[in-house]
Order: sequence, then C-alpha cells, then structure tokens
Amino acid sequence: MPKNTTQQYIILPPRGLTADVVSPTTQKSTQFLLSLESVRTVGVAATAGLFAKTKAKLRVLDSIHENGAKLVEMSSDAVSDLRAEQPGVRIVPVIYHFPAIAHRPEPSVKPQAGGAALKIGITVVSRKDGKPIANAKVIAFTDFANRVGSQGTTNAKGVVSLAVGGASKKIQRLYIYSPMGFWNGLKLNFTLKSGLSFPLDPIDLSFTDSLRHFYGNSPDSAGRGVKVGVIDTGIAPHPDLVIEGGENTVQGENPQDFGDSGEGHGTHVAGIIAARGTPPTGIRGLAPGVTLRSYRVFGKGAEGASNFAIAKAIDRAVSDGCDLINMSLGGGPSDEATHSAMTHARASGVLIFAANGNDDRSPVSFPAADSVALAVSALGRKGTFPAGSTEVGDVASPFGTDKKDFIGAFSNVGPETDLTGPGVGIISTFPGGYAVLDGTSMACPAVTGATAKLLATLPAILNAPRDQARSDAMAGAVLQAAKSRGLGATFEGQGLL
Amino acid sequence: MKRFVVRFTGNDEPPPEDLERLRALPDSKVIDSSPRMLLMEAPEAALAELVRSIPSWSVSPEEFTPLPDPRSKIRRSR
Repeated sequence: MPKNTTQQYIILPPRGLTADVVSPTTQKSTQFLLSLESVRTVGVAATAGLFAKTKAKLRVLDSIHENGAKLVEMSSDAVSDLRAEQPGVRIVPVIYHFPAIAHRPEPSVKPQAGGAALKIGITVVSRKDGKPIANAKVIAFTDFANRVGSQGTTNAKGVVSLAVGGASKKIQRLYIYSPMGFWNGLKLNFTLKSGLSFPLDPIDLSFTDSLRHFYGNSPDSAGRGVKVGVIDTGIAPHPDLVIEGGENTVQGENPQDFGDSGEGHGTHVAGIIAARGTPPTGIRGLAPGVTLRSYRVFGKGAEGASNFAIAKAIDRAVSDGCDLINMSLGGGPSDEATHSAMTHARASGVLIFAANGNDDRSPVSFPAADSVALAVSALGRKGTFPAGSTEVGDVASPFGTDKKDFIGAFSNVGPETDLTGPGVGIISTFPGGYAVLDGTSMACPAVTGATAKLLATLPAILNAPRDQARSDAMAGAVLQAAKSRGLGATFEGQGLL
Repeated sequence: MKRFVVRFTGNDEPPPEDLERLRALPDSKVIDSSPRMLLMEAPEAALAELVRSIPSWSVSPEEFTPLPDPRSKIRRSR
C-alpha cells in the first residue's frame, strides 16, 4: 500500500478567497467553510463530524475569514475523501517558492570509437501473414534507466537501421510502435543482431482489453441526453463516430476544421467515450448515446496547444451546451487563463476531466492538478494485453486488492488524483482504422464516458439549472459512485467509476 | 513582442468599455479574440498596468501545452 503522507493544503470556495454567503449555488461550500471556522481552535477530533463518511480528518491551522480560505493539515487519503464529500470547494497544496538555480548541464554520452557508425538492420512484420509493417517507430534502449539508446522508423519493406554502438549489442528494452492496426511490441533483455525479425499482433476488435474488462460493451442508449466536448487534436471522420459539431480554436486556422490535426489522438479519445461500432467489425465506447463535439486546440504540425486556444475551447464548449468536457492534455505551465476558463465552466454547471499526465510517477500536471478539474490516473490490468506488447513494460506497483490491477508505470500520481480509469492497452478508433494507445489520455475519456453513462440515469442533476451547484452535484455523484481498487488515494483517488 | 492572453474573469459579459480600453493600448495588436478573451501582442508592463486598473480582468503570457505522448523516449542517443 502506498504511503499516506500528511501535508498542508488550502481549502478555498469555488471562486476567490471568500465564499458568497447569499448565493444558493455555493451554499454547501459556504456552510462547510463556516463549519471549519467553528472548529478551528478545537482540532482534529471535532472535524470528524463534518464528514458523512467520517474518514476525512483534518487540522485547521489558519483562516483568512470565517467564510474564507482555510489553511489545513491532512493526509493524502483525507484529501481524496474530502473532494468526494465537498466537490464544490477547491483544495490546493501549499507550495513554497525558492530561488531559481539553474541546473548544471549533463555530460553528453560520446559514441564508442568505431561503434556509432555500425548500424543493425531489423525487420518488423505482421504476425498474421508476415507482411512488412512500414512507418513503425522502433526504439532500442541499451540503458533503459537513463533512457540511452537509438531509434528509427521502418521503411516500406519494414526495415529499420539502429545505431546502438556495435554490430551486436545487448538491449535492455526494444519498443516497436506501429502506426495503427497492431498492438505495439516490447522485447526485453536480448542481443540485437542484423537480420532479426520482430512480429506484431494485429488488433482483434473483439479482444477484451482493460476498458472492456472493467466496463464490458455498453448499450446504444448509454449516455443519451448528455453532451460531451473533447478538447484535443480534433476528431477524424470514422464509421464508428458521430460528431455533432465543434470548433477549431487554433489561432490562424479555419474555425470549422475541427477534424484530426494529423495526430489521431483526439479520434482515439473520442472513440473511448462515444464509439458506436459493434465488434468484431467495429468498436464501442462507454457511452455511445452521447452527443459528441470536437474542439481542436492543437494546430496542424504544431507540437503544442496555446492556453488561449484551450481557454477559448472551454468557453465554446460551455456556450454550446456541453455537460462534460474531456481534456486529455497537460504538462504545460499552470496559467490563469485556463484556470479562469475552467472556473467559469464549473460555475456554468459543466464538469471537466483532465489527464494526470504521463511522466513516470511525476506530480499531477496542470490542468489536472487544478482543483477545479477532476484528475484521472491510468489503471492497468494484467491479462488484458498480449504477451510481448509494450503494455508489459507498463506494469508497476502498487497493485490493488485484486493483484492483477495496477497503475500504469507512466502515470503521474499525487494527492490531486480524483479518479482512475483504464489507460493501459486501450483499443479505439483512429483515422483510417483502429489503434492501441496507452496513457492517462485514454484513462480520462474512460472516466468521462462512465460519467456520461451515470448522468444519463440522474435526470434530477442533468436537468438542473446550469450553475455551480449542478457541476458540484455531478462531481459529488461521480466521486461517491467510484469504488476503490485498493491502490491508495494518491494513485487512484476515489477509485474506478 | 510577447503575446498575452487577457481574460475577463467576471460572471457576466465583459463590459464593452473595458474592451475598448484594451484595444486602444498603444503599440499593441489584437491577434485573436473570443467573447471573454483577447490574444494580444503588447508591451508587457503597459498591458499589466492597464489590466490592473480594470476590475475582473486577468493577464497571462501565452503558453503552450505539449502533445500528449506516453511512448518511451530517448533522452540520450547512443
């Protein structure tokens, strides 16, 4: 079980530093902050009674006003419980700023004399018929811990040449990422020599991956009446997807071009939520009945999305009547524009899910780390991917109550995590076909889809006025419906919906 | 010149007179806009000072979020 650490946090009302005592939409948050004030001098024991589950114990250290922000001390498990019980308040860790000392440049690795020029040629083929696979990215790590190695892309004959420092070389990990249609490959601890052939498994759309293991196949009606906005790289036309509309908010590009930017990422995300196909000829998402909208924030050929494009997309999704927004993106710096747009969305009754990030157990990235969004980690399940696939390399502790469950090695974790969703070895739609991808980017739409499915059964919340109380009620319903898989709150938040 | 996102943080629509003042900032250019935001090229200090003088507006530098990619990457080539 992961360590349950105690640290200081600031508990804030939905907006600003003090709660609006007359607004009915923030009444619950206001009452909670006032309750904390009343026990500020008493200590941990008295706060236990504030929570329905009586699990979230905290110590109130300071306050800026009786209905204002509180400085508290609590465990990471308590943070998760508190988010579930008081979804309207923001909980942010206390941070300290230090002088900016530049890192010393790392020494570069010099190729061994005579070795760098030698290249090893290998071939990537389909396991089904032995045909070569072109445009597969191959990465050979000679030192995986330090990420030292060589990479290349296969040509039309499926051949790639790798400069690993010799004609024969011990390889710790060889990753093969196919463009689409195949599971990606991983081979561990072997000697790489020219002439070797590496087969990849074709995707079988009736295979039980981790998404289908945890959720099965949803009926056509799942999620009906719920509108979902996907803020991503755009969504390509696909036989399994129905896209109601959207907007491209990239500055300088055609606003009506909200299709794929060339990456395929958004198309995969959309399929996890809303694909309407039927295996084995198609694929099905968790909520095929939702109304799907695409907001493209990554430009064609661009490596990043601007905060202006993201904030504009959030605003547009809100004005278009989306109930849920999926943001499988992150890793940029925290910024006020995105935060303000997300705050406005929550105040307009819209719930936002954001991916924790894929930086190998690093802290949860922005915007998931922002208390306004619900942050999602990536859950994996042994036995839901082929032996020899890259997903084998994603297996890492902690393991759950069911020892086959784990949080993907790439997933960022931390006390901001609200939920977990299947994100290891996910089959979904891709421009021109189907692909397997891993990441919190896949876990996030799994949670968004499951939430849409849940909300469609809760008309009292779905049909409520579009205000802060509505988005708080949505968040509360989702967080309280989630079930722990025994992975610890910093890894799974409240668990799997 | 650096680019900035200027955003209205109030509950309602941004006041037209606020937008007029922002658009009239000397040596600045509005690159893009939406109902609650302007993307501006502007002198940083002058823009910050103007935004401070108008209630319920914020300014932040234009920043970029990288493409999501969980694939293993090489940090150093062999």
